[in-house]
Amino acid sequence: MLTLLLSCNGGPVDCQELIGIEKDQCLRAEIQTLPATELSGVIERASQIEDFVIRGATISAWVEDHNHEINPQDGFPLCQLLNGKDLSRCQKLLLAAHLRD
Amino acid sequence: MYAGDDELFGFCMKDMYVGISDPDEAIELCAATGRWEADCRHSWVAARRDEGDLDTLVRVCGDEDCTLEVLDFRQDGDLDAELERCRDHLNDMLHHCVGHSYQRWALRSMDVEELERVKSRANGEPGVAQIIGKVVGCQGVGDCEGMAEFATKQCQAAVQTASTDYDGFCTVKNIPGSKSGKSPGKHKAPSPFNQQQGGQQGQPTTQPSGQPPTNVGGK
Repeated sequence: MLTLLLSCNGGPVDCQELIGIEKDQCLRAEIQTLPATELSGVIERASQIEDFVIRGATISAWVEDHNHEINPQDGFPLCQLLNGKDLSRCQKLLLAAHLRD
Repeated sequence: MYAGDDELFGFCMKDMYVGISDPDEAIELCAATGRWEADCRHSWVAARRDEGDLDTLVRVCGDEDCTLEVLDFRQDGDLDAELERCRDHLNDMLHHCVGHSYQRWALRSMDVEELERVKSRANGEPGVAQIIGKVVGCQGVGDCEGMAEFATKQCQAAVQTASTDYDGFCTVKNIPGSKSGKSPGKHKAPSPFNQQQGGQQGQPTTQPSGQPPTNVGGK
């Protein structure tokens, strides 16, 4: 679900003005709206998410939704922001022919 | 901390149920992880893929990606047994399973007898002729003769491709044993997903030149 944060004057919030979990959630919300063509923007924002659960869930979900639209080589840097099983799963989503059908 | 957000809570919990011993309980708990249910069940299965009962693992898997991974892991060197398991457990991903099995077969040290045994399927099963060609080209065993014209041509093209080894197939380490159906014992064959980084090496070997075999012998 998209969470749209509004500042006191009603305009969209700049995530860079936030800190901690609020910032992470803001970045997550932005990433959720980005298409596969904005992969570089996804990587840039995801790398700023500090909470490992928010980062992992956000990246994993985005890759799952867009894996068939991304060149594997271009997507690897995004997967590298994950650890362990989540990293493996991310790479598999990008590489495995049977998951890109 | 993540209790108010189903997606985050589920992601946090999805790997927590690996230690649950009862498969039905694991299935029930994983259902509560929402969009991560498949990952959760997959994690439970992955922790037991070399020891658990195959039917139980497939049941907990609940999806064909997980099942395919288990079958890839449980290969035992017997091509026909593997193909039968593919047919028993998969539908949408059956052709991937068959392709993986034939590729593993092609990576094993081959003799002419075994090659000829499988070659007989080339006329009726798509992709087999190309696999035969890879064996002929990479291992220098047998030839492309004795098949229908179209199959012979596919085989010969694959032999030609093997001479360049553009996909690295010839240089993948051979799996010893498995001559004429003998099982070499359990081992972990090269998986299409073992190679993870960089250029061609990062590509799964599930797509040889042309299409992988899609049919299962004997069906």
